[in-house]
Amino acid sequence: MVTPASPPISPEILRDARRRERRVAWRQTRVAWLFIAPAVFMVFAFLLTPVVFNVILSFTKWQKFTGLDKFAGFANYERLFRVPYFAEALSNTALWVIGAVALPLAVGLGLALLLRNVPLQETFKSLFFLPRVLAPAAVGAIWYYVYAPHGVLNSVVSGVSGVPFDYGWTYSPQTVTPAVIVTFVWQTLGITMVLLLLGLAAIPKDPIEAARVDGASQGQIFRHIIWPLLLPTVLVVTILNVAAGFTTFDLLWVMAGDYPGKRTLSLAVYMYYEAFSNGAWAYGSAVAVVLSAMVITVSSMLAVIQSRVEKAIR
Amino acid sequence: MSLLKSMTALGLMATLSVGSALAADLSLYSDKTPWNAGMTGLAEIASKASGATISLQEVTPTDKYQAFMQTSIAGNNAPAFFTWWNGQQLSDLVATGIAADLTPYWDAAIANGDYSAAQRELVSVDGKPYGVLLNVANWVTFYNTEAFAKAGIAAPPTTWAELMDDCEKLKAAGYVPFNGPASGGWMPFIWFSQLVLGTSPDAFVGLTDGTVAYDGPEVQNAFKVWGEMYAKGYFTDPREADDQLNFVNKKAAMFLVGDWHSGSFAEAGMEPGKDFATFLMPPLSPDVQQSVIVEASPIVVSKAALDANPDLGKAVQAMMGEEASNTLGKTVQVYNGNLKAEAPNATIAADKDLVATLKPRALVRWWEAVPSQIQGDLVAAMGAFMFDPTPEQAQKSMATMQSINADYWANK
Repeated sequence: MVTPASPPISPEILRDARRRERRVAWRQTRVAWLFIAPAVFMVFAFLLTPVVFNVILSFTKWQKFTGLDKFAGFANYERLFRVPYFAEALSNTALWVIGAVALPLAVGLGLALLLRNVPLQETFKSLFFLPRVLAPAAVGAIWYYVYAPHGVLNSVVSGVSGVPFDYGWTYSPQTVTPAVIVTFVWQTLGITMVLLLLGLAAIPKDPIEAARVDGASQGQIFRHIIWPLLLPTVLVVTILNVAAGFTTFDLLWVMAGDYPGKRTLSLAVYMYYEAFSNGAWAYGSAVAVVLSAMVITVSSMLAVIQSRVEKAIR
Repeated sequence: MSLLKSMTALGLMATLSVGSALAADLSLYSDKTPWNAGMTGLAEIASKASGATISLQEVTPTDKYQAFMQTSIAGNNAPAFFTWWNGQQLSDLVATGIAADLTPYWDAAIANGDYSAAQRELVSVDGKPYGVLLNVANWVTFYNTEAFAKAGIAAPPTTWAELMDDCEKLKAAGYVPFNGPASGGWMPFIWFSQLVLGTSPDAFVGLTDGTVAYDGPEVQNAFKVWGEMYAKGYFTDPREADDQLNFVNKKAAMFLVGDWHSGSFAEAGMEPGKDFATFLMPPLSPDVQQSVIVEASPIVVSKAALDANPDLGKAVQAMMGEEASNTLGKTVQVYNGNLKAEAPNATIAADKDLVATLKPRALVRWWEAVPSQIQGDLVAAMGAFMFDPTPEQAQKSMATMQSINADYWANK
């Protein structure tokens, strides 16, 4: 049987159909833009514009009340290497980043492994997570009194040793940074532990069981199965803590408010001090640019490593 | 539609009423918490004279106040009235063009006998006055009369040797000789600048204009003496946040500070002239000229505010009047230099007599004289020494200060 051929579609109908399709697509695009416009506006107005403005500022002579209209070239960047406080702030920031990454990760991983299958694990998890819900400024205020010359820590040391002890933990350049790092670890331990617990929960049980059947020890199971599979989560936690370590300001500002060298405690504090206290707006902007570049570089490197690890696991 | 119209009308009315309220409500910003009562009185006098509502707004401590004011001024949002500092700090501010030239008001006040031409110079930049005087203070050493009596000190010292001798007597009587706080973001400069001044007044001036190095012989000597005094236990713990606590609780026998502090001591229960008196800190060597640091705090008036509301000129006149001065004197025992006003207390009256008798070389305080861009960084290095008063830290602080100082003047 011969089927009758369908009548050819006229070019007008085809044109109309295409026009309609284009109209629908255009309408959909407009609707889509309408929905994302507020977000795009926010990103441009409150994120990208200030970033670009900050970079421009770093090339001006804006100091205190004047100089915004004067081009300084790279003078503000050159100054970073001339003045003594920048190097000190940079080395303290390095210490901060190492402390903020290594300590919460090590202790958080230990706790996560310990609390996986113990009775009352939810209660313990909540207890360790509790400091995370407090505002950093409030945490700083509490720990300020822990470290005060006549505070909790010195009272305990005095009580135990029987000798009056009034060491100024947040007044001495040797102890101020470690003291604040301890507080940071205390506060961030909970979130690190929770993220690692999520990572651990996502690890399939089969390879672990198989390894156990084959007689692998706990250490071997951790080294050869758990750790490689947990590595992507560890890298995410590391990226988050690196960013936090580079940019921590509130804890330092509150806890070390009386320390004369507080401007050198981190690059974030140094940036604030130069811009807002010294009125060196352009120089402060240059510090901000350097700080941002460091955070972006380190975070990008870690992100690349993370994607390679994920690919290797797959 | 009628609902829409009503809503629009209400919105407009609300906007207009808020706008008019903002136009009439003006602020007097200050970082001087202990003087709040006096400043409030001043704001009331200014409000009454001008018809505007001027209220006191407080931002503390000093470093935060400076940050706040810089951002306000940079954002073209300077308050109508605000306390500031004279010297280099005022010059920087005047360069922005935000401060009103108060020449007509000063001319009238001088003609009226309220102030002298010399006092006008305290708040002038290039010959034009840009501030109303809030405080004119001599920097003196307060001493606890009871402590001196218990230590067997009959009269305050007139030479450095006598002062050191008295310190030993005070220690033997159970007192720490000097209250030495490092609080507020500025106090570390007090002893540093005093010891340089006592070594060489010319070097003190040179430090503020870049001609003397912060690691030069005069500064080396100042740090040496400062360190020796710490080693002998002449200072209280610099970590004490309440700057006058150790003086008013009689732990420390002396306190080097501006005589505007007498009001705070009185508020804490000490009677001026009876519980405490003052003397001028002698130079470190008899062949060095006796000097005194004069601190003058201006209230700056925003040019924009004065241009927008010429009636604020009446507020300026009122703040320069005798009534305003007496209000400050009676409430917080601060003297703003008005020649017709009474001295707020016996101590300030005695200081005026002391300065008139000794005729010391009067110098602008280091804080106001030093370039404000490096002021905070230099104070931080001085503070570092107070927390670790060792020769090693002294060298480190001097090297840091000189590095900052040299960098500033080389790139100015």
